[in-house]
Amino acid sequence: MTTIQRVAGSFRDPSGFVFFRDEEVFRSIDQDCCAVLTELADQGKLEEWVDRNVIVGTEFVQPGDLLSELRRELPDTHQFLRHEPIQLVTYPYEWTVSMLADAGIHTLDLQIELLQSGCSLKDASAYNIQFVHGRPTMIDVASIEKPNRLDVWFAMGQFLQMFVYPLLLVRMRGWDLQSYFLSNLNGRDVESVAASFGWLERFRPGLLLDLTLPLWLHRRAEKQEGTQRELLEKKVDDPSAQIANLNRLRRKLQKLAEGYQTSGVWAGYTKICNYDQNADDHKQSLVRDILLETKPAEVLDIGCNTGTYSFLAAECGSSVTAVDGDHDAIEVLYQRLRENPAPINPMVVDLGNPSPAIGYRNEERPSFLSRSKPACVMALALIHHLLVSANMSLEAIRDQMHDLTERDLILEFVPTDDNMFQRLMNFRVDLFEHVNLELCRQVFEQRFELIDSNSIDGSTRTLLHYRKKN
Amino acid sequence: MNSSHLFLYIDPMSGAVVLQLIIAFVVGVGTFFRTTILGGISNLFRKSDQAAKPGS
Repeated sequence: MTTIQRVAGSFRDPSGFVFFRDEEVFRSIDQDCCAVLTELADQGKLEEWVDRNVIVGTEFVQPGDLLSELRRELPDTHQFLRHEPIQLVTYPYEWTVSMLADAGIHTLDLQIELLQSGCSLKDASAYNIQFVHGRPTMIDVASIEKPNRLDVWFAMGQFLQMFVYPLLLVRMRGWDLQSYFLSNLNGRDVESVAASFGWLERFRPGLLLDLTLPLWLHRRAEKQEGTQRELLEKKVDDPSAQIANLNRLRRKLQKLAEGYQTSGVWAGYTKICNYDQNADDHKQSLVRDILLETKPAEVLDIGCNTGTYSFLAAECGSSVTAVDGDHDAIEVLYQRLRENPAPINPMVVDLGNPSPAIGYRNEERPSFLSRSKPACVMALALIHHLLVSANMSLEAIRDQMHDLTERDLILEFVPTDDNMFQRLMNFRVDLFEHVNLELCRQVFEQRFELIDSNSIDGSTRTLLHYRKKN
Repeated sequence: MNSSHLFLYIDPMSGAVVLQLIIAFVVGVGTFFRTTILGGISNLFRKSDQAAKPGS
C-alpha cells in the first residue's frame, strides 16, 4: 500500500512541502511557486541548472496515472515536482569550514543567476544546500520567487547568520561549527554575534559592513515607530546594486575559507602511523577484496581520517559516508574530494557524541544514527580511540556497530602494544591490559557472525569481517 | 521592559535590509552621476570638439 510520509523539516515555507512516496521524493507546490518554476522551465533554465548540478534533480510530474494518484492523495496541492533522492542528508553542524563557505558561495552564485532572470531566493538557509559527490547543490527549489525589488535581498540577514557569522566566529574567535549551529538551529542573531567582539574590534573592515552597520541600523529601526513596508514593496528592476554586494560577499567567504589552516592531529595521522608500505598495501587489498565480494550499495567509513579507504570503497562501486570527529581530517578529505569528485559524503561526527535530533518536535533535523543505514560499516584503526578516548567498553562499541550497520562490519583490531595505542595511553592509567584479539572476538561474536579474519602483514593488527546477527 | 524583550518585536536582521537600501541608494547615485552628469559633460566636449572642426 502506498503511504505518503511528509518530511518533518519541511513545514516552514507555506508554498509547499516535501514528502516520500514509495521511496521516491516529491514536492507539493502552490500556484505562485508553480508559475515561477514553469517560467524558468520554459526558458530552459531549470533543466540547465539540473544538468550543472546547481539544483537537485527536479522535474514536473507529467499528466498520467502518477499525477492522478497524487492529486487524489493530496487534493489541496496545485502541482507536484519529483526530486532526485539525496544519498544522505547532512547539516551545517556536520560540515567543515570549506564546506560551509562553498555552500554559501553556491547560494550566492544561484542568487546572481536568478536575479538575471528577474527572480530571487526568498530564504538563504544553509539547510537548503546538500553535498553530492563533494559539490554543493540547492535542494529547496520552492525558495525561488519573483520579488518586486531586485536591488535588495530580503534573505541577506539570514545569509549572514547562516554563513558569514559562523565563519567569522571560527576564524576570529576559535569557535567550531557544531557549537554555533547545534545551539542555534537558524544561526545566531546580530546582537549575540556582536557581543563576541570588542567595541573597537567591530570597526575592523571584515566586520564593519556585515556586522557593525547592520547592528546599528537594526537598533535604529527598532526605535522607530510604524513600518516601512511601502519601501520594500517598491518596484525596482535593476539588480546591479545587489549583484555588486553579492560579489563582495563571495570574495569574503572565499578569503575566510582559504585562510583556514588545518592543524588536527589526525589530519597528519599518515605521517606518524607505524604502517609500512607493505602493511598498507596488504590492508588495502584485504578491504578491497571484501568490498568487491559483498558489493555494499552504501558504506559508512567511521573514523575515516582523510579518506583513503573512503576513496577505495568509492572505487569499488559504493556510495560512501565518511565520518570523523576531527574537523581538520574531514577538511583535508573535502579538499581531496573537490579535486577528485567521488560519491563520498564527508561529515564531522564524534561517535562518542553523534549529532542529536534537533528542531521542531525534535524531528526537524533527525539524529545521525537515524539517518545512516549502510549495508557495510568500516571501522579501521578506530577501536582503540573508542576504548581509550571515548571510554567505551568493547560491549558498547559492539552494540554501536550493530546499530549502525544493516549487514556487514569490517573491523580492524589494534592490539595494546601497537604504537598508536601506546600514544593514546600516554599519561593515562592502563585499564586495557586485558584487551586482546581473543576477547574482542568473543565480545563481537555474541552479536556478529565472523566471516573472515586476516592478520595484516608487517603489523600486529588484524582485519575482521563480520556479518550482523539479527 | 527589558530591552532584549523589545527586540523580539522586530526582525533581528532588519538592519541588513536597511543597509542594502543604503547600498542601493549609493550605487544608484553613482550610476546617475556616471550616466547623466559625466555623460552630459563628455557630450558637451564632444560637441565643442566637433564645432571646432570647420566643415564638419
